[in-house]
Amino acid sequence: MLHIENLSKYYGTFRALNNVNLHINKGELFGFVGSNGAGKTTTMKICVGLLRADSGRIVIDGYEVRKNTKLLKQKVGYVPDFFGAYDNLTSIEYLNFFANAYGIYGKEADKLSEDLLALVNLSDKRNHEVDGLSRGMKQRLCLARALVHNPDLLVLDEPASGLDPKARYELKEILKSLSSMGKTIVISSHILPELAEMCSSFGIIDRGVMKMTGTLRDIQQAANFSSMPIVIVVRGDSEPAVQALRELPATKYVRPMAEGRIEVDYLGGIDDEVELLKILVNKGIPVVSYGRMEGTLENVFLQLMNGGQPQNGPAPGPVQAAPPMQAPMQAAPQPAPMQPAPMHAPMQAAPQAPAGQEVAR
Amino acid sequence: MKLPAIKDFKLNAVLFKDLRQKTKRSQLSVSVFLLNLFLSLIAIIILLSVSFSAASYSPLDNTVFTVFFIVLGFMEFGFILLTVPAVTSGAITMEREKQTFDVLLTTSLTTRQIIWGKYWASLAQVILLIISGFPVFALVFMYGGVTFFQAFGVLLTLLLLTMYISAIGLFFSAKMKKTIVATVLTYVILLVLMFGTISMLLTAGGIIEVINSIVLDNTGVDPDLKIDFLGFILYVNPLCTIYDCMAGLFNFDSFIFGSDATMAGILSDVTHFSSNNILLTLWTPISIVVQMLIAWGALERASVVIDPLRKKADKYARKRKRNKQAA
Repeated sequence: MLHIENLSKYYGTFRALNNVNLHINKGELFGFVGSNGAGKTTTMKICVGLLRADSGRIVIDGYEVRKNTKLLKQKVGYVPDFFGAYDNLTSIEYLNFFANAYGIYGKEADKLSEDLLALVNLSDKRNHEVDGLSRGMKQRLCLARALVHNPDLLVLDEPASGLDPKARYELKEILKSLSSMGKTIVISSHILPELAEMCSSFGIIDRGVMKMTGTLRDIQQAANFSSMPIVIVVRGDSEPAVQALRELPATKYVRPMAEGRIEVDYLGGIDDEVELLKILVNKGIPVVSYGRMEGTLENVFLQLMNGGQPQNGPAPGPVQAAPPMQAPMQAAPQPAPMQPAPMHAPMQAAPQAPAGQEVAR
Repeated sequence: MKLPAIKDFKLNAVLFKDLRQKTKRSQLSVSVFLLNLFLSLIAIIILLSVSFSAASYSPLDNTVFTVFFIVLGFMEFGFILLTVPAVTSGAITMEREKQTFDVLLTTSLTTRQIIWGKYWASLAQVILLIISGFPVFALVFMYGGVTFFQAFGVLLTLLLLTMYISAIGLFFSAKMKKTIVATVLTYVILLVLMFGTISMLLTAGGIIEVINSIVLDNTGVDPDLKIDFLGFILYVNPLCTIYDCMAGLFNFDSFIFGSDATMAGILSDVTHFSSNNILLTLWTPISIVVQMLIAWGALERASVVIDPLRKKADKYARKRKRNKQAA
C-alpha cells in the first residue's frame, strides 16, 4: 500500500530524513515511533503531499506520489498533529465543506457527513460549532473529515496527543474498527503502550534514520532482546538452581525471587538458552517454567534511543525491513541502560530477595 | 417543481465555505451599517447645505449634485482602499495561523481553486459593501445632474479597482506567513502604486527639466526631453484610473480645472504624445485592462506560491554538496 524508498529531506543544511525506506502492506495498522524531531511528521507530510522530498520516492497503491498528486489526494486521508477548526461552522457544515472539497455535493454530501458523524460518535454534536467542541471531539471530527473521501490510506500524526484517557480509548476503538474495515493506517504517537496494543507493525525512526521496522516480535528480536532476563520458575528450593546458574560462563546476574522464581541476565543466543535448560534439567532441578522476559515497544525504543543497535534483522513478515536493520549483528551488545529496572536496580526489582543473593559474575 | 437548494450547486467549496462563515459573522453587518451611516451623513450634510443655500439665494443647481456624486465616488474609493487590503490580506494567512491550511491542501482542491475561491469570497464581501451604498448614490437621481450611464460607469470602475486591489492583497496573503505582515505590505504596495508612481514621474520630470536647461545653457539648443513612455507607468495606478474615469464622465475641466483635466490632457502636457493619442484618450479602459492582467498574474502566482510541492530554489544545495565532499 505504502512504499517509501530512499527518502531524504533537508531543511537548509539539516538533514531531516536520511534515505528512509519503508513498506506497509494493505490493511496494516502501522505505528510510527520516534522522539521529537526524529522525522515522523516530515515523513508523513511528504506522504500526503504537503512537503517535497529532496530525493527518493513514495509509491501509494502503485502510484508514485510526485507524479500523481491528484490521485494521491483521493487515496490518502490526513490528520495533522496540530489542527485548527473553522469558526462559525457546525460539525455537519464542517464535514459538508470537506465533502464538497472532494467533489461530493448535495444530498450525497449530507448523508456522508451524517454517517461519518455517527461513526465517530458525534451525531449529537451535528449542530454544535466546531470551535466549541472539546479537544477529543475535535480530534474525532478531524478523523471523520479525513475519511470523507473514503481513502485507502490514513495518515494520523499524533492523534492522541493532549487527549484524556477516555478520549484516547474512544479514538483507539475507532481506529481499530477502521483497521478492521481494511483501511491502511499509519499512526504516530508517543504513547507507546497504546500503540503497541493497537498496531500490527511498527517503525522506529531516529534522527532521520529508520532504525527498524516490523511486527513487535520482529522488533524485539531485532533489538537484541536476548539481553532481557530469562525467567525460570523451579519447584521447591531454588538455591541449587541459583548455584548452577552462577557457574555458567554466560550468566551475568542471577536474582532469586520469591516462590521459586529466578531471573537470570544471560548473555547467550537461543542455542545457549536451550543448553541452559538442559543443564538445569540434567542436574535434577524441577523447572516449572522457562522463558525470556518479553521486551516492550517502549523498551526497544528506549534502547535504540540510548544508542543500542539492533542485533538481528526482523523475521520475514508483512512489513519489510528498512536497510539499517540488515546491518551486521553485533557479537555481544552491551545491555542498554534503559533496560527494565530489575536488571540494574535489584533492590527495587526484587523486594522479596535478600540483597546479598544478588550475584555479579 | 421544487427548486434545487443552493448547496446542490457545485460551487467552489472554499468560496461556499468562506461565504457561509462571513455571513455568520457580525463584522459584515456592522461594516455595512457603518459604511452606510457614514455615506448617509455626508449625503445629508451636502443635501441640507444645498437646500439651505437654495432657499436663501437661488434655485437648485444640478452641478451641485454632480459634485456630490463625485465626492461620494472618491469617498467610496477611499473606503475600498482602506477595507479591501484588510479583508483580502488575511484570506490565506488566517488559514495558516488557525492551522487549517495544511488540511485544505490535502483535499482534492487544486491550489488555483483555493486561491480563486478565496478571491471571490473576499470580493463578494467588499462588493456587498459597495452595492449596499447604492441607495445613497441614487439620491442624486432625485435631483438630476448625473445620468444613469455616468453612475454605472463610476460604480463599474470601482468594482474593477476592487478586483485589482483584492488580488494584490491575496497575493501577499499567499506569500506571507503572518496576516499583519501581509496587510502592511498590501497597504505599502498600494501607496507605492498610487503615490510612488506619481512621485517617480515628478522626480523624473524634474531631472529631465534640469537636463533640458543644462543642455540649453551649454549648447543653446533645447533638447525638449520629456517623460514620454515613462508616463504609462501610471496605468498601474488605481487612483489615476478612478480620477480619469470621473474626469472623463463628468468633464472636470468644465467646472474645476478650466482645461482638459483627464489623464490624456495632463500627460499630453508632459509628454510628446498628443491628447488625441488613443493610448491616452482610452486611459480608463486601458489601465483597467492592465490592472486586470496584473490581478490575474498575482492570483496565478499566488496559486503557485501556496503549492507545497513546487520546486524551490535550494540555496543550500551547494553547501550540502561541499560538506558531503569534505566528509
